[in-house]
Amino acid sequence: MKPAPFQLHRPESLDEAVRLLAELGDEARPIAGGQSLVPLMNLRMARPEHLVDLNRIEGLSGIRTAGNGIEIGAMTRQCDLIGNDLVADHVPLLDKAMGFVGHVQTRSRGTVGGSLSHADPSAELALVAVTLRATFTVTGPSGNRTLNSESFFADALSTALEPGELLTAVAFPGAAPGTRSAFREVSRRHGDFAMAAAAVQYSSADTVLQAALGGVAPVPFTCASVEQEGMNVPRSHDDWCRLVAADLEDVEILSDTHASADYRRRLSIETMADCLEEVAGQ
Amino acid sequence: MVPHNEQVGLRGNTVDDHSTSITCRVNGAEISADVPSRMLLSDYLRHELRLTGTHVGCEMGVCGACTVIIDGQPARSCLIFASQADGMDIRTVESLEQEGDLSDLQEAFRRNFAVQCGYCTPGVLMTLTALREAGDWPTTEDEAREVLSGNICRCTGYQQIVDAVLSLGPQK
Repeated sequence: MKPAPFQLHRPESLDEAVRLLAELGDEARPIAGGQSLVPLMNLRMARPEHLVDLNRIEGLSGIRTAGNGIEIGAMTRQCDLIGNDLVADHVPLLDKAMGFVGHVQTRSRGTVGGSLSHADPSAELALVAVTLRATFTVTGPSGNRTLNSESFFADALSTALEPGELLTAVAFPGAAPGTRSAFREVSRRHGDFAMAAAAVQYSSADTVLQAALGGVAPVPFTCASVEQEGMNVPRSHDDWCRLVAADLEDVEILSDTHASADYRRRLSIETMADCLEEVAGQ
Repeated sequence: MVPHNEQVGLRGNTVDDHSTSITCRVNGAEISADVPSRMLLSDYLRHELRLTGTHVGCEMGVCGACTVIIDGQPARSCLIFASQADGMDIRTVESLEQEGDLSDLQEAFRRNFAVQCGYCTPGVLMTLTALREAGDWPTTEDEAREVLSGNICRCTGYQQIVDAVLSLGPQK
């Protein structure tokens, strides 16, 4: 349970980090909070020969207004989102999700960018990003680019980041006044990986409904029929269940020792229906 | 109590391919050392500094036995490399007693029989100490169980730990 030997690099600027990653190639991994990478290294499931430590780089963390929403620097510690006024005011769904992200001891080190780049299928930050159509700013050897949430998450534990690229910030659209939202998660114990997580936001100003599921598919899954349905007409619990079930019909549902695909499917349907009812009733 | 090492190399820079020089604060004392890059902070504290109060349960960040306080926040020492500790302020369970007196929290644990085998205890104490100092203290059983959710205890069923937590009001 000890990691294999590696050389630690501690760049002091983003340019230096990008240059190092390009130079060192396949054998190098960036390390942010380490809450996902170090367990993998300790289990020797990951054996990078070089670690490029991002923790000394200034200017990569912080929460600031951007357009009608907020932008969060990739190295922002997850704990800094909790109780943050900008998050609570502009992205209430994110505020609601943060309590489900790991534990207090992992949120002190874990970063927003690290969680998003790791792209675990049950990650709450990824789910909220997909639900709200967040945009991702990425820097690499060929410069900067912006990705939408659909393009960013490619597969379980896999993103569109090219070798040598780093996520530097994520921007969330701001919630209009009168927006309602809910986040629900089912796990064996509080803080465990979600077996199913549902995120819903409804803006009465423009009658836009956004709804997505985490923990059920390799990447967060937008419930298209649900979003199309909207909240103009009251729906029963069963109505919502039918819509979610239809959305999930052709999805490759995850299965593991914690929850079979069938159980996850049923959990997702019920959890999303409950979440939608919660928002409808607010 | 904490041994000092000779200051060698430049702060935080690579000494050789697999070794890094660090300067950090541990339980109030400044420490400078060369550490193998891959040495976990938990192992550094236990094997190099002989602060064996910090326990190692899973070495993958799920059990919480290795929890220490870093820059005022609870953190898993098995998920940090000692080579990253340059500039950190680290406190371990050994820092809780003051001149032979148990801290309020330790005393509450003693009175409420919150320690059985003691393996999880240092991690629980450091998690709770950090919260207490931040003024973030549970007042109901549900809240107490939630703050304890990042520490696994196989002995107590958490009840006596919850009792100890609830027996204390917020930090004065």
